[in-house]
Amino acid sequence: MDPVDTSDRARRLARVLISDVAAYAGDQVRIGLEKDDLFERLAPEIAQARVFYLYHVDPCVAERARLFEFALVDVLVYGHRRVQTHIW
Amino acid sequence: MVRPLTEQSYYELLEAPAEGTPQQIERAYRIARATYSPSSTATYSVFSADECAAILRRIEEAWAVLSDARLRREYDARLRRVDPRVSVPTRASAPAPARTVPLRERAPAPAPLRQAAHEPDLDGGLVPENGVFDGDVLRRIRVSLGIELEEIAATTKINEHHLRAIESNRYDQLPPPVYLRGFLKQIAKCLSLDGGHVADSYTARMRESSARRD
Repeated sequence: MDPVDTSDRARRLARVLISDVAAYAGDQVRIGLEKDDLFERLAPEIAQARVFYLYHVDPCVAERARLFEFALVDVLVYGHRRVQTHIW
Repeated sequence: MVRPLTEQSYYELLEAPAEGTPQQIERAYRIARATYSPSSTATYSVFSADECAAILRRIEEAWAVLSDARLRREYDARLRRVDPRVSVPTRASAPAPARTVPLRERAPAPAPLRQAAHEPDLDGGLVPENGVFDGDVLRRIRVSLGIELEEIAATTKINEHHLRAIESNRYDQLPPPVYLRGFLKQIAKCLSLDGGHVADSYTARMRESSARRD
């Protein structure tokens, strides 16, 4: 895989990785939101995605770590905003 | 891409904030240990067993230092001496994630880490060295191209359940072979691969696996 050396590509990779976490987690995202333990529940999967992301994204990409965190919130939380939960 | 292990600070290694509380450090340590454990599914194709063992040793080393208040203070002081730009805990400093404060402005040469045999090589085409397309290879190529599973489903009209089964090599959950070949060709098209070759390779792999089980 080519080094990911632009913010756009890093953002895209983060989004793909996190959407894969959600896709392969089945009901765990919904349950995690309902029980307010989403990030603890998916911690190993998220950590594994982060390893892949950091391995392939050049450290000189601006906001490298933050792009991954944005994708986490955008895909896992905002993407499931219709889940009925007490946290919102 | 990432700096060699020996050049990463303990905070970077654990992906813990340099100003992290002992609880945050412990949590980061547990996640790092789980990530590089021999049973971890994410790192198996990125790192060899020996590399994982080396990383785990370094993680334990990091934990031994960062979990001890005195050793951590000494380590932080040493880190500051090496590069004053590094953010390390001082009572007055504002919290900042360690990952966003690299030890150097630019990363040095890529870490000497083994690339998996089936890692897609975008420079020389997407065909893996051994020419075998299984679910893992298809997934890696998709991720490399920045394509979400949902997008494949929307383009091909293949149910996501089937796409996940294909990428996970869950052969018992796949549709009948005649449909499967069609699905594989559609997926290959989305990934700019040779559909016939992907279908042949995947189904051959599936047959081998079934034969081994029987």
